[in-house]
Amino acid sequence: MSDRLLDPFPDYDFIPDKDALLLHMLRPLPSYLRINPIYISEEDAVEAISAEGISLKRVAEVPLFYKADWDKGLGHTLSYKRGLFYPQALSSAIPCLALQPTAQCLILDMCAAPGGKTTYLAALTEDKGLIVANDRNIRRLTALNANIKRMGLTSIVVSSISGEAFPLYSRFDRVLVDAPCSGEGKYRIAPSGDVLSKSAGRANLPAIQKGLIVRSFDALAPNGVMVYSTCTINPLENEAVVAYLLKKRENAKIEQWSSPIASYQGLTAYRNHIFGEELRYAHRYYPHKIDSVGFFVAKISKSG
Amino acid sequence: MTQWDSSWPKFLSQDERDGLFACLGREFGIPATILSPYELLKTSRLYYLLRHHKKIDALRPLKIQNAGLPAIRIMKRHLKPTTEFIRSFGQFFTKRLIIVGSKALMTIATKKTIELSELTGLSDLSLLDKGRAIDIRSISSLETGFYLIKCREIFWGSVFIRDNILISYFSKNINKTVLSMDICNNRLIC
Ligand SMILES: C[S@@+](CC[C@H](N)C(=O)[O-])C[C@H]1O[C@@H](n2cnc3c(N)ncnc32)[C@H](O)[C@@H]1O
Repeated sequence: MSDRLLDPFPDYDFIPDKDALLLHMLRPLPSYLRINPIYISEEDAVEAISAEGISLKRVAEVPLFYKADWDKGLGHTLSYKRGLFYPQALSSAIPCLALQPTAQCLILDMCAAPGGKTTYLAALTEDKGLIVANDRNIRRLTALNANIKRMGLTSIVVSSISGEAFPLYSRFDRVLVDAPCSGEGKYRIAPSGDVLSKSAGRANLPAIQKGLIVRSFDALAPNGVMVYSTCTINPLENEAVVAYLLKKRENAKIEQWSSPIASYQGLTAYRNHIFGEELRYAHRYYPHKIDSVGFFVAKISKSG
Repeated sequence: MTQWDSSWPKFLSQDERDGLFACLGREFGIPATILSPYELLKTSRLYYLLRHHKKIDALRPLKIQNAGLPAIRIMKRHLKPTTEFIRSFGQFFTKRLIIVGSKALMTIATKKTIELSELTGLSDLSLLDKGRAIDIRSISSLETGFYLIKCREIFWGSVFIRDNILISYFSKNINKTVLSMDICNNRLIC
């Protein structure tokens, strides 16, 4: 791929095998789904889904995830309507796994709608934890509530508060900030050369993300764990945001964490921005390396 | 201790829980212990199930939109289990559970009101009563109230029965799903 005109990321020299990424972007991403083990066992759910003609291949490294070979919409299947699965990008599992939630935890999912990660957190805690699923956008709560109901989950409380103003009277053991972002990790290139999945928003995303990460950190209990994630490749929405938190809160520390799928270190600098050495402990996921949506994941702890 | 924010539904007291469990036991044969790991919350028309958690009090001051899973609707003098509740807890119903064949399921999804005799003419219908399956034709009149419908090991929703007339409470989505299914080939696919 030498036609640089097609390159939606001309400034990102840090992407490994960038030509391979551009080629990868020419085809649709494969479908993955996550089994919901609440109603019936994982094995029985797999059997019911397979009986509908959907061919499933288990992803051994990521609990409950399967690659699904199915050319019609997964949302039209009976198993979907029965709440037996959630169609979900493989990389979307990673922030939840990094958070390491347990049933004893009080968990805050600060930007939760439509609930892909909230419902995975509930599954990982066997629906026995206590999760606050928050999203500022009240219209997006409809989808969040529908997913919680469809999947039969009983451990979730829904709120709709602007994350930057989230009240600090309850301190959480785990906080997930899956921030609104430019979504570059989802970009695909159409045969016409147009970039698909490009969001049209003109908001100052890094400013919103910085407000969210600091408030989310403040909502964390001492010794608590927070994960900041986005589905973008842009360092100014990723490492720069985490570096901002580290500057603002000296009891914040990036934790090392071993990823179950192929990842690259976070950037310590980009153009004239210096983020700091500890940012290498953050994880970058590139679409062509994992055959799924690109992601950024940083695990952060709060000292007591 | 801080008051619950007014946005929270009311938590049932122990007496209210006992009352509701007794009712669910009487009508649907659900053992009370099945629901003991949950808080029960109530709005004017609905009971919600929220998994009990030792840190729940930390959320007292939080303004919320909703909490837990909508479980039981209050329909005048009757209790109607929601579809989500049925999917999770249908296996524990030992009463008021009707097992139907595919043709009867199709009919329920097509019509809002059906004479019970119309269904028994289509396929065998058995009623689970105190854990025993009985052929519905051998019962002269069914108790008034909500019943679960199960077909091919799947819980589809509930119906209201009075004077041997059945009123379907299947959701639109479930009706659409049932009607689009390929049941002729003995397969349940959309
Ligand atoms: C990337 S999406 C979250 C996806 C979700 N975590 C999932 O896995 O399904 C980002 C969400 O952040 C919400 N959001 C944007 N600004 C926010 C704010 N200031 N406070 C809280 N939520 C916000 C958006 O409405 C959107 O639903």
